[in-house]
Amino acid sequence: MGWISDELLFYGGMAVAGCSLLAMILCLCMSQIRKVRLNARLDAEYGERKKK
Amino acid sequence: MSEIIASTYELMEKIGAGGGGVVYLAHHLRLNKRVILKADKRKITTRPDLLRREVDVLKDLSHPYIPQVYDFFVENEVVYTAMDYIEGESLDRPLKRGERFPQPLVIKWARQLLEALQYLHSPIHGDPPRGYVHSDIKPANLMRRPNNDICLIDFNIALALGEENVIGCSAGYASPEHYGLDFSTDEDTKTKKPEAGGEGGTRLMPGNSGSATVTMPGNSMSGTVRMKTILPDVRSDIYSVGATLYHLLGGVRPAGNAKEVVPLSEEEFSPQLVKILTKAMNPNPNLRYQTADEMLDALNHLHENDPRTRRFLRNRRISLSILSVFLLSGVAVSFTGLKRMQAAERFLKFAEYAQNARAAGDLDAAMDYALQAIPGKTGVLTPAYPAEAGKALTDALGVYDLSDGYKSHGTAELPAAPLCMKLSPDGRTACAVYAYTAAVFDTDTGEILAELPAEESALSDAEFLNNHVMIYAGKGSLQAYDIETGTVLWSGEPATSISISGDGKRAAAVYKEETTAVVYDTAAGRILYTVDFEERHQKVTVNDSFADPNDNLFALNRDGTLLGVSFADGSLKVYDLEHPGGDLEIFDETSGYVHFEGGFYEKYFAFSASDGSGSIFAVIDTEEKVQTGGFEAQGTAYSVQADDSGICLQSENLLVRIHPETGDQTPLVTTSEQILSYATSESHTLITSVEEFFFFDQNAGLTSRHEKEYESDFVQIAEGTALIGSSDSPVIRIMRYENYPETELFSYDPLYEHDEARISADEKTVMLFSYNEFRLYAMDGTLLSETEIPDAAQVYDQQYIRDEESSRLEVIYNDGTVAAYSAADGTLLYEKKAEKPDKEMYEEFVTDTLRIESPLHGTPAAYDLKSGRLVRELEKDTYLTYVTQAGDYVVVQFVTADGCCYGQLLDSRCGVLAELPYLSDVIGDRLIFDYPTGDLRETRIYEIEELVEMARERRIE
Repeated sequence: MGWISDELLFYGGMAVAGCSLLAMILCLCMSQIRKVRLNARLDAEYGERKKK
Repeated sequence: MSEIIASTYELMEKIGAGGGGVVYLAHHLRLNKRVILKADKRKITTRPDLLRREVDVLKDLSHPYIPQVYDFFVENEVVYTAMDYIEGESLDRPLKRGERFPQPLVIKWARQLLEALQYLHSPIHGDPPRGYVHSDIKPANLMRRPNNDICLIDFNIALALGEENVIGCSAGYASPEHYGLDFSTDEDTKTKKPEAGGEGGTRLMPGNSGSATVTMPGNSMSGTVRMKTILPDVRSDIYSVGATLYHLLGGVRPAGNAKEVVPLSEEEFSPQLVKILTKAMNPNPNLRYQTADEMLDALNHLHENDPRTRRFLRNRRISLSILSVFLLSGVAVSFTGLKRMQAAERFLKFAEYAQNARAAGDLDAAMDYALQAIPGKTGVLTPAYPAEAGKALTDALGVYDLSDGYKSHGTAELPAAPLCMKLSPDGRTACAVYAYTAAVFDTDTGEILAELPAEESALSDAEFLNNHVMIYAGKGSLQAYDIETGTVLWSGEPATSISISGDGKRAAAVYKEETTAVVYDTAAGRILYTVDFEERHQKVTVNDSFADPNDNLFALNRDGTLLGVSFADGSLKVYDLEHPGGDLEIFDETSGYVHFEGGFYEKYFAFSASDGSGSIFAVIDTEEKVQTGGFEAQGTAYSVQADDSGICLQSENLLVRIHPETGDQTPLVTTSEQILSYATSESHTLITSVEEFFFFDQNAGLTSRHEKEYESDFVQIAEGTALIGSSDSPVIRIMRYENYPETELFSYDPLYEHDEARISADEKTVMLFSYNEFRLYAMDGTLLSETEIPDAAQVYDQQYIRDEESSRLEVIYNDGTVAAYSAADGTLLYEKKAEKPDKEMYEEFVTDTLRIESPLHGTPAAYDLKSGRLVRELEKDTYLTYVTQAGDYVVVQFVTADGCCYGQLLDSRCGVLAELPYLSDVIGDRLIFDYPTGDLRETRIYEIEELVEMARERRIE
């Protein structure tokens, strides 16, 4: 790892992890919104899901 | 009408009539509830099992979507069945009205229907337990309740699973096998024609094999065919459910021929639902849902199985997976970076510890720390060792310091700071008195050999009689201790201050502020003399437990016949032990002096006395009883040591040996530092200043200097061993004289001044040169030539060139003239004109990975060869002379302002791996050092693995 410094690994890794985490959170939020919309659409087509 | 049936049921209205009979709404008189009363129109003589079929089925059933039967009786030859009144209408009616039902509602009904079938089909009903097949599922047999739930009715042709019996066929809703069609093998065995029964009617068919003319609905062909025995199973009901749902959704009854059923539009209805119905209505029963559970499960998982849900979940899974991979990768990379940073920091820390330990003289600890700073194996989490670690190891090992001189050997750690310290004549053992204990330790290992109780006084002294016997102020008595045997040879009177005669035969001792001293025969401890001080005593502190004023003079001469004593009142006297009348009173009590130092050298008594404002030095011939020399000074304190080696006088930064008669002074040191303490041996002098201690050779030439942490109160030197101790630290530094004759290449007169030394390529000659002249020697030391370089003031630069043809010294003049002198014999090889050198240009050196610029005025800097990025600035305030690539390493050479040469061993990233003091030349991986002692010495560049192995071996030793 001569060409890349340890600091770059540490901070770069943290940056990637941080951005990934943010992206995951964003993805989950958007996914949840889409899921609600999709469920609404499916409920309209198939009726409300039977609760177990 | 209000006809009462069976005294229980009051008929309220006729609500239906069909092939099975008439259906009335009745009022149960006892239960006071509405019920359905079915009057079966078949004769009572009809097979009872057929009459009772519905009752027999329903009586075992209890389900929210299946009606409950209450009663079965015969009245007036009519068979009545009483069952739950299902309020609502059958679904065929709204279909006939052209109503269409929303898909969600149909799905809801489908689930309810399938739950009922699930229950119905389960073999749990009756005794023996069995399941039932409805066999006639169609919209007409589904009641829609006011709450929009459905109820499955009309179990007239329901069959127990596995039973052969009369079956029914409702066109469009009945499965192919009801018509005797078996598509499981894909053979169409029959074509049938339905008998009259109406569109919604159910046609009953005998269950036995026989012949009949049957035509499939919608098929014009007819003919006599053989009827197969049908055993409808749950899959037939599944088909009927599918067909019913088909009709409910599409508003059109499905084709009677299962193969002609047109699937519902996937644009109008959900594709998934269409697929479910298509599967349920598969002509091949093996390809349908095999149980109501399966179909119900499919309907219950419409959401989950919807392609949009799957796509959503898949996309989400992929996104989260990718992001998780990035997250984990980021964490892993960050963790790796963190671990590597921590490891690098740890290595640097240990490297620093190693340097600190080395500076403190503890080489063992320095090597231990240095080894910890170098990882055994590198890996993902373990970076390579930093240059600082390599340097710490090379410094601890001293592999690149080939100079002769005193080097750090180790330390001895006492339990407490010493009050006094003495070294044996051979330098192998030493004694230190601390906290009322006299510790004898081995100067080779630093190991304490013995700890002996000492007199509880800071004045307690110890002296070496010889290499093996020590006389010290023991607790309660003077002790002679044999170090080898560990035994006390003899004991004397209580004592604190001790003096041994030069010949070692006598010892004098005085106890604190007693007014007498005792002189012993050191062989047996016999008291030879008791010296009366005439009520005078030596100077002691108020509390002598912790401090020794060091103001007293107490010394025997060489043969132990004279005793010099100073007193607290300022008097100074030399006692003639063999001739009491021959005592010499040097100062009386009026002198005013408070501090005395001195001793005897031959017949001379040399001393200094100071009163705080000034000092006096004097030499007394004890035989003639006259002063032979001396001087006074104000504001300066003289320090005097006198023993068999001579008289040493120190003041400020001067330390000289002084002739007792002539007063001639021979410098022992040349320094600008204030001398705090000093010790002399035959060949070297050790002095300490505030921050360093120095060694000088016989010619007062500096041989080495070392940093120290504490102010040194005690210094001792003897036979190649030196000790430096402090009353502020329990650690005593041990220095040993080291020389490296095996590394010697060439030696010359050290007084010959030169700038550089070079060895020829054929290694036959050595050239020592400077700008104005050079000398050429053969390797055996023979001077081959001595040449003055003409116009030395015009010389711009000199280059010693080694190539295949010859080795030569090129002298470059300011006007561009280049003169070359042979390294074989020193003759002028050639003189040629070249371009004038540009004095403003900087020198540039290129290695495998670095480009080093050395400006004429400025700090040399190293740049990455590929990227051009600055890597590091090199040494400041020095001139870079050479840069040599030596394998994986780079050797840089500098010249200081005062003309000293040194080098540094660098790694590929310009990290300093080792200091190379007095480096003169680099040939391959060979390093040539030119020491001021007139020695050219050689070593090679060591790989880190070799250094690690070396350190480990030394630690084991």
